[in-house]
Amino acid sequence: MSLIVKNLTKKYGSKTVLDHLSFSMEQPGVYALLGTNGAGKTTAIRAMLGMLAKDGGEVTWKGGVLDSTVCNVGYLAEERGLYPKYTLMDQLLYFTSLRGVDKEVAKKRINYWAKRLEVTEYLYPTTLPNGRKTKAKTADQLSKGNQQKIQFMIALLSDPELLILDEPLSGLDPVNTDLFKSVIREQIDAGKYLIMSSHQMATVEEFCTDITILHRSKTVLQGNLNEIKKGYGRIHLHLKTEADALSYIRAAGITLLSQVGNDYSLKVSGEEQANLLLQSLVENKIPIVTFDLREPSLHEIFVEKVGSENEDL
Amino acid sequence: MKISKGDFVGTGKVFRFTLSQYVKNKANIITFVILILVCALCAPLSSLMADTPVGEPVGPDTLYIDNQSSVDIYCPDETLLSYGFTDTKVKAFIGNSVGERDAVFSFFGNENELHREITLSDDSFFDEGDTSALRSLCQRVILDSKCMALGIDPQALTAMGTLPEIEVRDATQPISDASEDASWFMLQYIYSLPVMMLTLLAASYIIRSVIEEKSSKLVDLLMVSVKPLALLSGKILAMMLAVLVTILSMIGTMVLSNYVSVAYLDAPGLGQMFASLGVDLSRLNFGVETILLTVLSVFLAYLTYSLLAGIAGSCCSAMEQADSASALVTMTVMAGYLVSCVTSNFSSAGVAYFTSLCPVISTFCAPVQYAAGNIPLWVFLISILIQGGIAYLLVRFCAKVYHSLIIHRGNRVKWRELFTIAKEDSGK
Repeated sequence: MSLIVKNLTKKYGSKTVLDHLSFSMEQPGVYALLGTNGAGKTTAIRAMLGMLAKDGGEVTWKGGVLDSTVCNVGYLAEERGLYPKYTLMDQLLYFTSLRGVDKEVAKKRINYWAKRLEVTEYLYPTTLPNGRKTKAKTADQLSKGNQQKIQFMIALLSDPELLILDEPLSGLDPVNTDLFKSVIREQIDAGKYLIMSSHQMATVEEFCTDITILHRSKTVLQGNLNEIKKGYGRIHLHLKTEADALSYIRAAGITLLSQVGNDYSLKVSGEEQANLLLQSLVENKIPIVTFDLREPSLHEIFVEKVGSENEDL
Repeated sequence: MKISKGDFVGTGKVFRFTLSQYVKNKANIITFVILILVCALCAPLSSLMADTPVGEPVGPDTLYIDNQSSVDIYCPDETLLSYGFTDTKVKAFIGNSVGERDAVFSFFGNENELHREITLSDDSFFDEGDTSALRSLCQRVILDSKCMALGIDPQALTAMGTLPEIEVRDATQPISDASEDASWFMLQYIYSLPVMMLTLLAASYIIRSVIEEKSSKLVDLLMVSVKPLALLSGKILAMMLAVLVTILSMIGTMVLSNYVSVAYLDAPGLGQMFASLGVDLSRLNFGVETILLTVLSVFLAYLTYSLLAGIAGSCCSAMEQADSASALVTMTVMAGYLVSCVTSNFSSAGVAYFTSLCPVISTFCAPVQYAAGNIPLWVFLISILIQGGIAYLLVRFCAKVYHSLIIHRGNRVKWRELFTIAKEDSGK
């Protein structure tokens, strides 16, 4: 086991904000920490990294207590920050020096990642057509998206073994989202361990093999994503017809989750019930555009696990 | 929570970065240049703008001798000339009216028990520097007269023992013994002012520096690489050095400027300036141990107030909270400063011991009290030990609370809540 989180607990006074969280990563890959706002994801990450004093449990990396001295950790925090008035290059060199990276090596890496994340023009002074040189930019002169790129660079510059990304894609435009995704994919291919916390379920499904869903500080679902989905079975049916099919759906006793025109999202008890509906539609000559019986998406699992309780709030 | 070496790994890097960014900051550069310019110009400008050269005493037109003692008073022109009183005429006092530029030296008793008074007119022309010179002259006249009475050459004055007390008073009201206390007040004031500037300036910079980091939401990122205590230490030490260099540069510039003014503008030297303020440097205990212990005392106070400022800053989340955060540190420094200035007027041994040993006040008082000979060396040493103990306890307290405070968001943490945090930490 490379990373083992065992019974990690954190309390603020009498309130438990993280209740016996346990998970492990045996192989390089991506592990997802999911949960509603305030479920304890960021607290879990902070406690894992030793920023918060733990009230119980332990976190080990390759047998030793997880610490910056035993594991090279890259962290993209949920709270994005940079010194607003300092030049970006100064900040990048500072953060790399804190990670013990040699200055010359750091400069080469900064150059590489600046090109890769398309922020070179902000880091180095450029020469204008009139021959005058522009000054290197400070953080407050950058857009939010570009600041996020710099923060992502900081996480990557020490070439970390364990990369923790807290909401890495929030606030990015589609182009930069693809750019970040491609970098994340590169890191996975390079054999890195990634822990990702996100509300974007599609992104999590795209990268993650294992997940933990937290709700009100407790683990409500945990395991391999494919196995979890298999456990649910193929019970979600997407039906699209050219005529009204609602009466046939009701006749078959199928639960209607949502409807937009003749586009239905349904929940069936199993393949038999789905086949009965299909047979009924064909017999009554209802033109079918889509009939897709599938496993639930992560979004649907997530909503099912934590949504109903949220509604009660 | 125990403090280990590992808690300070990265302090040097934080220190270098904080200092380099402080030096690169344009506002800091401009402030520094302005301060240095003001310090460089104050001596020559005050010298050029003064009606009479500062510190050069003005002698009386007529010095009346009212001798009611059994001793013959000896006051030759040479004595007057040695004080720069070139135009002063000496006359016997026979109930004359005393002009605004005149002075009366009155003597009572015999050579064993002499009482003296200096009398000036109600609307006397003489300032504090002039009366100081008159006091000194009167003292010289007494000693010379005493020597003559004993058949000793006045040149042997320097070999004589303790100097007598001198009283100076105007025509209607005697000047009280407070003139002696006033000189200590000036000395206390001159010493305390730079110490107060040093601590207050550093506290302000440290608080802002810590809040800047917290409000920039960088703490999470930093804490992956460096422990909270190293982060705080690096910042505090960098700001302490920056402010220390600024204050020393200001003092250095003032001294240099004074030397240049003395050389080219005939301005009074520092010794004369102190004398004009009533401070007789020759009477101070200015040994090597005084200087070393004073430096140590100032350093400990500087460290203590800087640590307090670090905690105050980490209790905040936004720059708007900086003013309220600095209130306690400012109040503590000001309390120490004001108490030191007020108590310097009391020449009681009890007050000297109390102010030298009481934390907060001692750093302002103990060095001056020791230099003035009001407390022995062992009291000064105990004072420093107490200051060192407080600084150590503060470091321990920082270790307990800082890792919780550094990631705190929201309302400013009150000082009372800090003790709860420290207590909770001790329980773990």
